[in-house]
Amino acid sequence: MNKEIIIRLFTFFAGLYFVVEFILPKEINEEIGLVNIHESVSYGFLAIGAMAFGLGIINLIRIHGSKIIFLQKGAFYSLVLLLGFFSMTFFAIGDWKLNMESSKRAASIGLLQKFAEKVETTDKLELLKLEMKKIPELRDRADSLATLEDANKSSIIFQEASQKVVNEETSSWIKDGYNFLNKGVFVPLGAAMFSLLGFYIAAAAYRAFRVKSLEASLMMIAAVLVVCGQTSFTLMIWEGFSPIRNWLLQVPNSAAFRGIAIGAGVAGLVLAFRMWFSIESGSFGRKK
Amino acid sequence: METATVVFAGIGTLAIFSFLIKENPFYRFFEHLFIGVAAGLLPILTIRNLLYPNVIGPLIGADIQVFPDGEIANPYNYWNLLFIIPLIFGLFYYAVFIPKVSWLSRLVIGISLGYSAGLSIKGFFAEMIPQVLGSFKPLVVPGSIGDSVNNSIFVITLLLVMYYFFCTFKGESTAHNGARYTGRLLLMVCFGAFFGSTVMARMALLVERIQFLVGEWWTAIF
Amino acid sequence: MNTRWIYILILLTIGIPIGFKLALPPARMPVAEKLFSVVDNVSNEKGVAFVAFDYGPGTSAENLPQSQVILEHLFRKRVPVFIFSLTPISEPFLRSVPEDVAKQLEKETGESWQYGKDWVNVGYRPGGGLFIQTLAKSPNIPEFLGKDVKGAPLSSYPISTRVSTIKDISFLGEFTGLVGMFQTYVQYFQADGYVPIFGHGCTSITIPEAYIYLDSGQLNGLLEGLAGAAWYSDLLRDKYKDREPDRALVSNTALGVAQLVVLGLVVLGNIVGWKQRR
Repeated sequence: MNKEIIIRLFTFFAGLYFVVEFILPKEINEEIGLVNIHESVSYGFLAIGAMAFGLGIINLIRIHGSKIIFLQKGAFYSLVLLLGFFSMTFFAIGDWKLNMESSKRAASIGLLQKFAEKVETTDKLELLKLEMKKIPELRDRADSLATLEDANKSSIIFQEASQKVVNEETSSWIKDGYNFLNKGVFVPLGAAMFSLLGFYIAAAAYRAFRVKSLEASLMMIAAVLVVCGQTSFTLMIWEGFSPIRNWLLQVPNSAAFRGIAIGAGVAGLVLAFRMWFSIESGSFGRKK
Repeated sequence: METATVVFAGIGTLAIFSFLIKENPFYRFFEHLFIGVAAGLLPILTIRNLLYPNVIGPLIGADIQVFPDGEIANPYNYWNLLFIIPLIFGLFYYAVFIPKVSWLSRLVIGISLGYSAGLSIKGFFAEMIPQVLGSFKPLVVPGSIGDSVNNSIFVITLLLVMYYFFCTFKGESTAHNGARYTGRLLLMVCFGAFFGSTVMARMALLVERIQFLVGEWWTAIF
Repeated sequence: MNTRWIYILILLTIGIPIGFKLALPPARMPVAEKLFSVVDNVSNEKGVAFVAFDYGPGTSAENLPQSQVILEHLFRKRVPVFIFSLTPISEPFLRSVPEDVAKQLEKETGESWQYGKDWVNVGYRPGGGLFIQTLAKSPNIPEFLGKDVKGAPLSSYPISTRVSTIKDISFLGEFTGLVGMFQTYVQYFQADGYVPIFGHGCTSITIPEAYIYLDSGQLNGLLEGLAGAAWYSDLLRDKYKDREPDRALVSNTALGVAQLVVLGLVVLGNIVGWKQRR
C-alpha cells in the first residue's frame, strides 16, 4: 500500500473516533462500550502527542552543540543557553525525585490504611502495628489500636499522618536551585522580555498612530473612551466615562467581535474537515 | 538564597531593559539564559505530569503495592500493556532523523492532526451554537427603550460586520458598498476598544517589572 | 522627538506613582462584581472548585493578581480547590500562589489552610482540549488525574472525597492571556448538558473578545486585566474588613497614569505630524 494512503487512513481514523464519540447519543456510546474505553484511548492520544517533547531538545542540542564544538560565532551564548537548559533539567529532575520520596512514604501510609480497614484477625492486627511502628508519623499511634474494630475505623489516623508527610517542609540545595531558576531567572526574565513591549507601544503611539481618516478617528475615539472608562484619574474628572466604556464593550464591540468570531469559527471548521480528510497537502509532504 | 534570587532577578531585568539602548552582550547573555531555562522546563514536566504517572507507570506496574501479609493490594491490569502502542507511535516522531523511515514521522503527525480535527468539529458546535443563539435578540423589548435600542444596535452591527467579511466581492450597488463601508466603520470601533485594551495590557507588564525593581529589588540591595 | 526620551518619560510616569505608593480607588467593574457574587455564592458544603492558571511570566502582571484574589475568595469561603494548568510555563505560579494566599490568610485570621484538604496542585497537564474533554467526561476525576505534582495519588487526599464527576465541580476559574486557551474550556469543559459556573480572568488585550462569551451566557463573570483584579480586591476588602490592602491598587494607579501618557503621546504625535505637513 502506498505510504501516503496509509498516512491518510491513520489521520482519518484518528479523527473518526472523536467525531463518532461526539455524534452518537450517550446511550449508544454506553452500549458499544466507548464510554468505558474513552479515558484510556484519550491517554493513548495524549501520550502520542507528548512523545514529541524530545524533538525540540534534539534540535536545540544539535544546533547549539555544533556552534560550541566548531567555535562558530555566538558559541559563548550557545554555551549559556545549554547551561541554562541542563541546569533546569537537572534541578527539575532533582525536585521531582525529592517529591517522589515523600509521596512514596505517603503511599505506604495509604496502603496501611487500606490494610487496617480490612484487618480481620488479631495476627494481622499485630502485623499492622508492627508496620506502623516502622513509620515515624504512625509510631506513637500504633498502640492506640487495641481491637480489630479500632483498626477498621482508624482511617483518620492514617489520613493525618499522610497529610503530615505531604505538607512536610523539606529544604535542600536541589529545591533551592529549582526555586532560584524559577523565581530568579524564568519568571523575571520572561516578564521583562514582554514588558519591553510597553516601551515600544508608547513609541508607536507617538510615531505611528495618525488620525487621518474617519476610520482612524473612530478607532481613536473608542480607544480613548475605553481607557478613560477604567482609569482612576479620568473617573475623578467625570464618572460618566465608566458607563460609556461598559456600553461600548457590551454592545458595539461585542456585536462586531461576534461577527469576527463566527467568521473565524466557520473557517476553523472548514480547516478541520480539510485536515481530517487529508485535503491539506503540506503536512504529508506531497510534492507539488 | 532568597536575597540572591531577588538580586539576580533584578540584574536580569535591567539587562533585558538595556536592549532599549541597543543590543549588547549583557542583554544577549540573559536572553540566552532565559531561553535555555524555559526550554528545560517542558520536557521534564511532560514526563513528570503525564507520561510517567499515567502511561509508563501503569505499563511497568510501578504502582503495584503489597499488603504486609503478602496480598497484592492492586494487581497488575494487563490492559495497560496496550499503552505500548501509543508509545511506539510516539517514537515515530524521531524517525524524522532517519531518512529511510522518515515518512513514519508524517504518519504520527497525521494522527495528531486527525484527532485535533475530530475534536475541533465538536468544539465548534459547543462554542458557536450559544454564540449564534445569543445573537437572536428581541429588537423591541416592551417597557425598556434602552434595551430595544441596544439590541437593535447589536443586531445591525453584527449583520453589517458579517456582511463585510463574507461579501468580499466587488459590486456597483450603492447598498452593497454602503453596507460594507458601514461594517468597516463599526469594525474600527471594535479595533479601537482593542487598541485601548492593548495599551493597558502592555503597560501592566511594565508596571509589574518597575514595581519589582523599585520595591523588592531595591530593598534587597540596600 | 528621540524614541529614548519617550522611554525615559514612560519609566518616570510609572516609577513615580510606584515610588510614592500612590493608590487611587479603582474604577468600578460591573463584570468583576458579577464574578464576585458568583464566587460568593459557591457552596462550601459539597463539591469543589477547579482553577486553571494558564499563564506564564509574559502575562503574570495581570493574571497573577487575578488568580490571587479569586483563590483568596475561595479559600476564605473554605471551598476546596483543584489547581492545574494546560501550559508548562505556569509551573512556578501553580506552587507559589496558593501557598502565598494561604500564608497571608493564616496571618490575618489565625486559621490554617492545608495542602491536600483545602487545595491540591495537579500541575501542568499536556493535551489541551483532549485533556479537558476527557476530564469533563470522567466518571472518577481523581482517578483520571492520577497524581498531584508531588507524585502522590490524589485519592490519598481528603479533598478527593468531594469530587467524582464534573457535576461535583461547582466553580471553574480560568486565567490566561494565551490565544485560544480560554476557548478550550468553553468548548470542552462540559458533559451531559452540565457546565460548571465559569469565571474567567483575561489580560486587557482579550477583554473585547471575552465580552462575547458574557453576552451569550457561556461565561458567568470576568476579571478584566489588572483593573478587574484591583476592583475585586476592593470588593474583598469591603467584605472582609481585616484584610490588608494589596499592591494591586498601587499598580492600577500607575497603570492609569501610563495609559493617559500613551494617549497624550498619540495626541502629541498627531499635532507634530500635522505641523510638519503644513
